[in-house]
Amino acid sequence: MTEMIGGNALAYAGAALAAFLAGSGSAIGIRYAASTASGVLTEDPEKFGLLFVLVVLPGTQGLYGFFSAFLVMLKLNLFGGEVLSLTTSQGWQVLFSCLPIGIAGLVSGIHQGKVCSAGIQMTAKRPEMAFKAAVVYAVMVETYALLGLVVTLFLLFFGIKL
Amino acid sequence: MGLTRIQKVSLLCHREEREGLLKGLQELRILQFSKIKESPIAKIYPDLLPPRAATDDRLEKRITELEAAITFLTSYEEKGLIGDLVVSKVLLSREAEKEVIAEVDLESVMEKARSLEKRQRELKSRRDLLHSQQETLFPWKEMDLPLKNLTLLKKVIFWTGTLPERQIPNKGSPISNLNSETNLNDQSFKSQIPIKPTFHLQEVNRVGGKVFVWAAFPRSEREEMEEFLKEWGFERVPLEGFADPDSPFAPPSSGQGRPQEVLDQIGWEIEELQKEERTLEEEGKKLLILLPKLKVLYDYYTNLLKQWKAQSEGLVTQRTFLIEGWVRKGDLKRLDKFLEGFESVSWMEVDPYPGERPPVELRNRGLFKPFELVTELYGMPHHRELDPTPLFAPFFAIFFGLCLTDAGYGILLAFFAYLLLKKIQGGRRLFQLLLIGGGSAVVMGALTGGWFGDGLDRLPIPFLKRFILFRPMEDPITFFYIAFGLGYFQVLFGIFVKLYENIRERDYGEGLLVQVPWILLLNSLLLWLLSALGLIPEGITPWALFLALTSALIILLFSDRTSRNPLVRIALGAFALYRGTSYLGDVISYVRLVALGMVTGGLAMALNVFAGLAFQIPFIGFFIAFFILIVGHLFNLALNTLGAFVHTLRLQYVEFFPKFYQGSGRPFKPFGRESKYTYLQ
Repeated sequence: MTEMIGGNALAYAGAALAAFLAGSGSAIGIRYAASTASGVLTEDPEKFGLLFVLVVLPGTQGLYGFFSAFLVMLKLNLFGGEVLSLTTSQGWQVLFSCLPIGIAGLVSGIHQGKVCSAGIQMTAKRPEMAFKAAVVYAVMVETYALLGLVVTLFLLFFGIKL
Repeated sequence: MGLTRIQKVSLLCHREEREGLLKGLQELRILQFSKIKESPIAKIYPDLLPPRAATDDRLEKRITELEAAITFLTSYEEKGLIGDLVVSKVLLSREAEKEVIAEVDLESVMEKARSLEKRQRELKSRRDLLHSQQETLFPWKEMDLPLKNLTLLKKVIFWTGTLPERQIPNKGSPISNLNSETNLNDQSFKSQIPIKPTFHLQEVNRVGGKVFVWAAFPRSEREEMEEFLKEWGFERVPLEGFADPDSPFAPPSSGQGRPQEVLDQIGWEIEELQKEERTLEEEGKKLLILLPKLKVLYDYYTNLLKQWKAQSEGLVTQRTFLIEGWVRKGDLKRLDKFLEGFESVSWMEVDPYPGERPPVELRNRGLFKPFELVTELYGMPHHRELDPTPLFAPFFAIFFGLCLTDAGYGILLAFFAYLLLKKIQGGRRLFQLLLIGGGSAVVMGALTGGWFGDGLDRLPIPFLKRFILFRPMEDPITFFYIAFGLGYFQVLFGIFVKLYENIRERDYGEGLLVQVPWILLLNSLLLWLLSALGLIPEGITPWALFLALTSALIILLFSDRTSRNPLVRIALGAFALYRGTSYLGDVISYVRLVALGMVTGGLAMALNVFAGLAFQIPFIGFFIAFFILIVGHLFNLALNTLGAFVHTLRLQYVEFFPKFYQGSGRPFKPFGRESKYTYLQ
């Protein structure tokens, strides 16, 4: 069956998964943070600036996924005119390389959103803890998306010769 | 480097001079009250404490009113997103403040704001009511029956209401004929309707699955009819209120009118209300010029109240008033000079009570100053700790730059930070920090050839290529090593700082038996790793291993020096060794610099590629490309600046600070004017 699919389709699936899994993670994460922030802001609109940071934090996973997808496109010479033709095995390699950021981005995006949402509730009561705890905790969750991104980058850069 | 030295002082004065003293201290802003309630004197003589917290009800009321007026007027202010993000303050001189206080007829302004607000609320609630009436009446607008008739007849009841549409499927047929068999084709429908010549049902409208009808029947048959209508799912929508001029729901001069006429009336009144609301808004906007003055007054009165409340900070007898507080050593002369102006004040330097911790003030200069913000966000050092600000500042700047790794973005960021610095009085240190970060990003970008992503390959500026050390997209492994190298260096530096602190505190045991062996162990392991990788001569391996084992042994035996039981000590030592693996985790954490740095450049490159593609679209291509470049790069810059800031922050807070820093101090905040809205010059 894989012969029928072909290398390029697998590589495209990889790029698509990276962008769409990590992007979905960010979207869901921001949803959690933003709805909590909206609640807090009805009470205390002056905290907009402070909460803004916590709301946009889960947005980065989507960027990492998009960046990885873009790297795959570059690798395939998508913008250079002649698109490379991949063997099935190369296609699988690209697809698997994209999974670390895709899956880590999805899961960490959602959970970072939850952490940010809790952080926003804390910030509502204790704004002085916003950076010391809320932001740092949220960034701790993001670390694993970043590690996923690094793995994806290195696999794409060094693991695959096209 | 280091903290400002702070001295505790005690002030005693005659009670009559109390107010003058507090007023002067507030102006001077050099003394922070210590908590006299917790002092030994107050514990021995509790009756010296002021019986209740001093305050002034009239002042408090006035402040509350002012705040309400300010909130009300602020709602007229038009500001953009930036205006919401940063609060700007009114800048004025002391003379100008006095003028404002003398000039503004506060009562009349407040009265005006209050009456405006009240009238606006009235209009709004009236308008809300009218809107809901409009909604109720709208489906009935084609009913050709004056609403007054609904209650006119003594022997007949008129009911308005809805029936579910599924009960009366064929649209258009007048239901009034339900009682004449000829118009009903549906057999089942007919069989269920009791034929009553005295019953009249008329369809008016169909909206959203509901049929709006009116029914008429003799008052004597009410119960029977009610039962019947209920069975058919009839829900009453009383419209009688619209006919009764005394009812609160009555629209203006309603009564006789048909629904359409009443609706017209309502529409007209809403328009009138909106007109008045607009006039009020204009009036409110006219009051807006008073807003800065109200803000000045607000700050003035809050500070007056604060002065008043400060009386609770001291101890009183019938004749005397005693306060204690903290003053910077450098300010003692100023304090002395100020106190000379009072007849009865005497003061002296005192020692803190046992266990009392003086407040702390950071003292950094020049480029280091803005980084104090990062320290404060974490927590001030306690009075015997080192100020970490100058220790992490260079790392912070470098890491921030590495997270962006783009000279173009660095220039933009520095430019925006500079603009904000010029335009806005608040948030100075943050903008200065961003300015430094932008500068660092320019350096890092130039070294890695990042100018708006791959701009260097697209623009004919070859001399910029001379600065390039390596290019992350071609050689990410170098970037990787740099990040690890910096991480290892900072972690090790943290341990060195702890060692220095221990030596300074004369805790040589901890320094020699914990920090030194850890430094040796980490370095020898690094040497071993490097030689295993073939990066340095292999001959060093046995030495490195020997050193590693020795220092590990020292850690195992001496990490815990409190217990006498050797087994417990070794167990705790083993645990300390095990926890040492966290150093590995710490260093790996710095790999985020690679990821963030490459993402910024990579996304910028993606934008350039897409803009290039868009450019090829005929006619409008240029505009689309332009749009992608401007909006895209700004968005990318904003998001990555945020990322750079928070991740750099984390590296300090999570990887660096725990090596030596507690941050359990409280900041030195001298008693002085505090202002929410104004800056006094």
